[in-house]
Amino acid sequence: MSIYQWVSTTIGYIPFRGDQAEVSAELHAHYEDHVDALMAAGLDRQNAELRALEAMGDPDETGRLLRKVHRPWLGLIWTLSRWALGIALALCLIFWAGGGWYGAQRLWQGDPRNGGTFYSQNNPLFPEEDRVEFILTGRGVEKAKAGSYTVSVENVTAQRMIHPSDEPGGENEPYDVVYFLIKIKGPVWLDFPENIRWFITAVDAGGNVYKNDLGLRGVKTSDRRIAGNPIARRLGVHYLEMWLSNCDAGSEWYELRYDHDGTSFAIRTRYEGHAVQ
Amino acid sequence: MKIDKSLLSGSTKMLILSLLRDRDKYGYEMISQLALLSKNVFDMKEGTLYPVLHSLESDGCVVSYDQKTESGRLRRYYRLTDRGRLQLQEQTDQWEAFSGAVNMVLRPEN
Repeated sequence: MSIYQWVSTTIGYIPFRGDQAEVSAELHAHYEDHVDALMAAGLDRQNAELRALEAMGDPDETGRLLRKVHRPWLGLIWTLSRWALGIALALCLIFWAGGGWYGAQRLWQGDPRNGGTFYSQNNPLFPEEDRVEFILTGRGVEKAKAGSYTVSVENVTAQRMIHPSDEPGGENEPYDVVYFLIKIKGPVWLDFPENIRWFITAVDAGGNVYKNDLGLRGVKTSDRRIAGNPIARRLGVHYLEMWLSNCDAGSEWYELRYDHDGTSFAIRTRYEGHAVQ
Repeated sequence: MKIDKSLLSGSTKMLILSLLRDRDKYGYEMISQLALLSKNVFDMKEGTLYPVLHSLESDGCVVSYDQKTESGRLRRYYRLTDRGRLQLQEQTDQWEAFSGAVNMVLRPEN
């Protein structure tokens, strides 16, 4: 048996590869030290190597003793944790390169202060031929707790839209839409509670109630109503867009209300009344 | 004189800790010194030193570090920690009490 076979047999008992390499180097160094010492005492290399190898003892006994110290579950935890870390990093990359980036783009496009016209171009509520007469912007003035989540209104915009008359020479039809960007923050391990948009209603300063377009069936197009979409899902921070139809853009404030399945909150918003277009 | 291995096994850790009391040492150095100081009575199989050293390291009694020799070979040195020093003191006290008691039984005339 050579020292390589001796060491190989010994470290074969250690289940964790990271430890195997270190122990192998240490055992080889020990053997070389002993060979050097024997040669310094006058032995030739061949005899020195034989004596040094014999002095190492039984590789199986040494290996079994090493296995007790280098516990397999510690190595297993280390290996698994490295895999878990790799998978988590890959998922984060996919998230940010995919949905997260897409959501960020949509948010940017949807902000009228950036000149974006995302919702007027992409939402069926706003036909392409309609034009925006003015936009007012504002923000939520309070946050609300809803279970483990914190809900706030990132911004509110009121738009006066002009629908061109279908008949030549006819009068254009103005209509108002108020748009809310709702931010929902929560623990990273909880999912986006996007379905709350089906149960949110709204009230304006004039006492008008806006029924939920999705939560209530049979809402007529002429009714005051609120509807919405999920637009960005990120770790712990999510966004909903919601809008009021057949509303009064001049209302001093709006209050978004939620009361469903034992959870309720209300957020009052107001816009600051300055035109940005 | 060859001695029963079971007599040695309970005190191996204490002996190794005591070898590190004055300065840091590497494995072969410890084995050589153990054989020298015990006049070859403690002639342990050299490979079995490392499970003991690694066990002492995982208990926090020693720490290890690598250092290059003049020939460029890497050696792993071991250093006694405060915890190891405390454990050595405790084990030495126990050993002295134990060996004193054994001697009193074996040689009652003394």
